[in-house]
Amino acid sequence: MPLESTIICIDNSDFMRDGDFIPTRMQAQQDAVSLIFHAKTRSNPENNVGLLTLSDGRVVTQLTSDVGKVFSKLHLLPIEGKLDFCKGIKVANLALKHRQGKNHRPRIVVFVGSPLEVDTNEFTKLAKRLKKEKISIDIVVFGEESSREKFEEFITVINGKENTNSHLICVPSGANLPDTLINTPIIQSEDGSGLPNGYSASSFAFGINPEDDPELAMALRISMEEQRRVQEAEIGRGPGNEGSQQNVPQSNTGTSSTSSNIGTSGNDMDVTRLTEDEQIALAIQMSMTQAENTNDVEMKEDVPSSSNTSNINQQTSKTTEETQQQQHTDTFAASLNDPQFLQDVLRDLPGVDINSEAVRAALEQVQQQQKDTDDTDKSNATKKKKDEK
Amino acid sequence: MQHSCSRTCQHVDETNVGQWNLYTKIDKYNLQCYNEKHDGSGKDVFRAWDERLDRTKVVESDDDPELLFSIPFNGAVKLTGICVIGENDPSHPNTVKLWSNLPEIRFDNARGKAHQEIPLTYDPSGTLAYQVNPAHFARVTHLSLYFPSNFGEETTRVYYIGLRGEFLGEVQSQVVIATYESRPQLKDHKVDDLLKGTHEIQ
Repeated sequence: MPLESTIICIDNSDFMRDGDFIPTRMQAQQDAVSLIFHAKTRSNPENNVGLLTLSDGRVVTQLTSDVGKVFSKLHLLPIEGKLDFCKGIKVANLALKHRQGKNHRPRIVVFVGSPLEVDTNEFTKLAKRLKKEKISIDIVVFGEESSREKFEEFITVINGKENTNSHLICVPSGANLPDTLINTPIIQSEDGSGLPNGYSASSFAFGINPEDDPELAMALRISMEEQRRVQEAEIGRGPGNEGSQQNVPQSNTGTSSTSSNIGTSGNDMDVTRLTEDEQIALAIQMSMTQAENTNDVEMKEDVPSSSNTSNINQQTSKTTEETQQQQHTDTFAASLNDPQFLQDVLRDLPGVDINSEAVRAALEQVQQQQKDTDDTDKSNATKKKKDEK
Repeated sequence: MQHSCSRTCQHVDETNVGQWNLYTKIDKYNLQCYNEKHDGSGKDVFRAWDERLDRTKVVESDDDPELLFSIPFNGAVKLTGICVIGENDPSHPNTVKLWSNLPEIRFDNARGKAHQEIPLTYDPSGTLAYQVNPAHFARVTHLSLYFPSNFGEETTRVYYIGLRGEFLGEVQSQVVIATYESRPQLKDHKVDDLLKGTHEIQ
């Protein structure tokens, strides 16, 4: 296990606000950085890691082996500016030159998630200079495909003819950044895994390594699949009945938040397999269920809920939900239920065929729900008038 | 030292052997050669005096004629002489710059003034030994050798580098501050931030 001093360069340009990595690109980067930090420190406790931002070439944390120093600054990084790759690398080079551990092998890990604008000559000169100084570099390109060839050339120049110390890793949009990195040479050292088996955080699904306990992992996966099937069945049953139906699984499991989380994370796995149109339709339905879930959660706090469902609960929740819906006609939930608004939004989205089946079906459902609520509103209004008379 | 062969003989004085064994005191694991074409070839040029004429071990520079060696020792040495064997053609280096005890010397700060700068001539058989100025090299724990140019080739080739001198002894690499306590008292150990990162027990 060689001693290493690593400078991690983070892309904090405005492109990091993008949500194609969950929850944002910046968050995914932060998780990945913490993963790398732990891997380096575990492989050798004397390894040093430093942090640098690429938009302004600023050293956020000097080379250190103290996890607190790195993490406190990591989560306060501002998102601003544009990527300046060459400047960032030069500053990293300088920081490594003045490192305390003179015998450490220097390494730079760069995250790039925005388009690269660079002069080719300067780029190649930089690669040659890094090669001369024997600095290994790992480039993680995520969410961007345009600069892939340039980086491949860069890595080839640095590696020379025989060296394989520098790597280029491309992560496509929507993937899980820390999970993808685990299997790459950045985390894995040559003699085996850089992470011990019990490592959790966001790295393994369910927080448990399948190698440690395959039966537990299997059980968790099966229960997640079941929950997802239940969720999908409810979504399919139609949004009109969803208010009461949602109460059933929520009070059954006892914790509404975890069930909805597992449901959404289970749905995430299927999302990529659906076509774009179906994804849009699913997204609309999910946001509608979420809008009603927030109404339900608010009610839950008022009404002391027992673990078993009862008719009384259902009835009271239904009526309170309807009154709340009347009160919240101006809220976001109402605007989402407005089919005209949805149509306008969808028309503006690129890549959405407004006339496709799935989208039309979703819109019809919304219209149906709107009609139902309007009818109930009208009937309630007429009832009130009758009472007043 | 005189020997009884004819004036034209080329053989080298054997008594020199003992003094050229500073290569044994080099910290080979941390020895680095910068701008070498083949990774690891820089370490091979530091070997025994008897093996100096071995042509299979060579370090060649990559793309330009510059070569830089960063040589840490396993202790303190006194350096008195240096011998450089190259090819009998323009790939032979024409200058060597030496620094003692400056491990951060790299290509950008090697362009300045060195502790000693020695012009070299063709030496394919190791007959020339250059004197090293004792001023800076009386107690060396780290030696930097920089070959900035050669006699005209695109790349520089070096077969052997010999270092002559004496080993002065091992050194403690770090200053150690030891405090002895019969019973540890918490008030004697003020810690600013008790929550310094995570501590794991495995």
